[in-house]
Amino acid sequence: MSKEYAEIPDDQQLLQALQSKESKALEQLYLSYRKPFIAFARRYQANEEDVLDAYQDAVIAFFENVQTGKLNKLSSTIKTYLFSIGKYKLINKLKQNGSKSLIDYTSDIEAPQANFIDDKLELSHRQKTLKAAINELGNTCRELLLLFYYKQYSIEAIQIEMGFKNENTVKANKSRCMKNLKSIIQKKDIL
Amino acid sequence: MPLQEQDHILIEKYLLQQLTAVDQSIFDQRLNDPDFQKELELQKDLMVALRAEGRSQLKDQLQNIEQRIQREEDVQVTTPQHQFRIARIMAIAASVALILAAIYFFSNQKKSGGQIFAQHFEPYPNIVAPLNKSNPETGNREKAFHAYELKNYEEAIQLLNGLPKSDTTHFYIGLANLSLNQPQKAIDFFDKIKKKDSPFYIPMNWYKALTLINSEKANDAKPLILFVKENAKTPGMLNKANLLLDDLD
Repeated sequence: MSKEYAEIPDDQQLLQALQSKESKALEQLYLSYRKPFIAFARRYQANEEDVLDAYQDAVIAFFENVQTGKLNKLSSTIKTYLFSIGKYKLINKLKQNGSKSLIDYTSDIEAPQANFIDDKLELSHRQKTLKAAINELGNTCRELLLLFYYKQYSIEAIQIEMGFKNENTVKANKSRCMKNLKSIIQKKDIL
Repeated sequence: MPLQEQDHILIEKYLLQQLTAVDQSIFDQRLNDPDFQKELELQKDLMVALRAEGRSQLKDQLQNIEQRIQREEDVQVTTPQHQFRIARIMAIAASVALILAAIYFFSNQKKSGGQIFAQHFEPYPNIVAPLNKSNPETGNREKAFHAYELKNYEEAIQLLNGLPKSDTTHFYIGLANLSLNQPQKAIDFFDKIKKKDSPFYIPMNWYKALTLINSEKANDAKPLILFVKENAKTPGMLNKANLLLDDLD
């Protein structure tokens, strides 16, 4: 087995790596608890695809919470966070699929933390159109806007990540990209 | 009243949850302005749309990692399940032999460098002067990078050569030559980028590696990909390097 997912890094190190936007942090997070989660989920008799799907959603939810600063200090282990979100997502998925084995586990369904879990985004018509508009942007603009608004990178972090000359170039590009996006939106007549 | 720059800053701070107490009171006042409210609603929807897009990108990234793991596990399955109690060192030796056998087996069906190149090559974006169709700029720098973005590589090389020499021009001339199937010229320009702290140093190594692979020199390319892997600035880059290394092995 390759070394990278045999070792589970220390929680604090992992959290810090995520907070300082280190490139390998997401992969490290994913690999750290993947096997334990698969083993844990056996009790739900779900197929592996559903288990992995739930685990991936849990990793994304955790990652988002760290990126947006909702979670800046751990009050329990990362494993506990990931397992409780993952379990919640998996049970919901099984419920949707009408699985019968669920009855035994209904007591397990407590949401991890009221504001911590963010369920599937149900997009309104306008939001869907906006998402389509984002996809019409060039790669550079799309990445820049995602880094700033979704991953909430600082201007300086974006400069380093995307190799811009200086912070002013980032700002100029950001407002140009926003303008481009607005002109795409205007054509879609949803304002 | 039409929105001011200040209003946009206020909305952005609100969305990123960075309003100070002072900002908050100005923000609350501005909510009385229908134009302000309209822009705020649009920006809120945009945040949701960006989150949805960001999530799907992360999901793709995790699924790629998952595919890689599954491929690695498939290789491991070829290890015999039951072995006699032999010394641990013998077991390791056996695994090594099996892996070597697997490598030998797979190398017989190896893809050509050209195939691997075609699978992994994506043009590097123009991050210097993005094309803005509604407001074309006429400086030589803009023209050069727009020609590159529009894939007019011969014109791009000519224009880039007219600009002051820098790592940026070396990099893009190298890229344009690569796209014109001029591997040696591409490598000559990539090799001009020597400073490790140049923002183009890591991407240059990536494209130089791809150029070498396309010329069937995979062994020369490997150390460069390993360098990219070790120094990757984004999970996406790291993943690309891993996938390319997998294909070469």
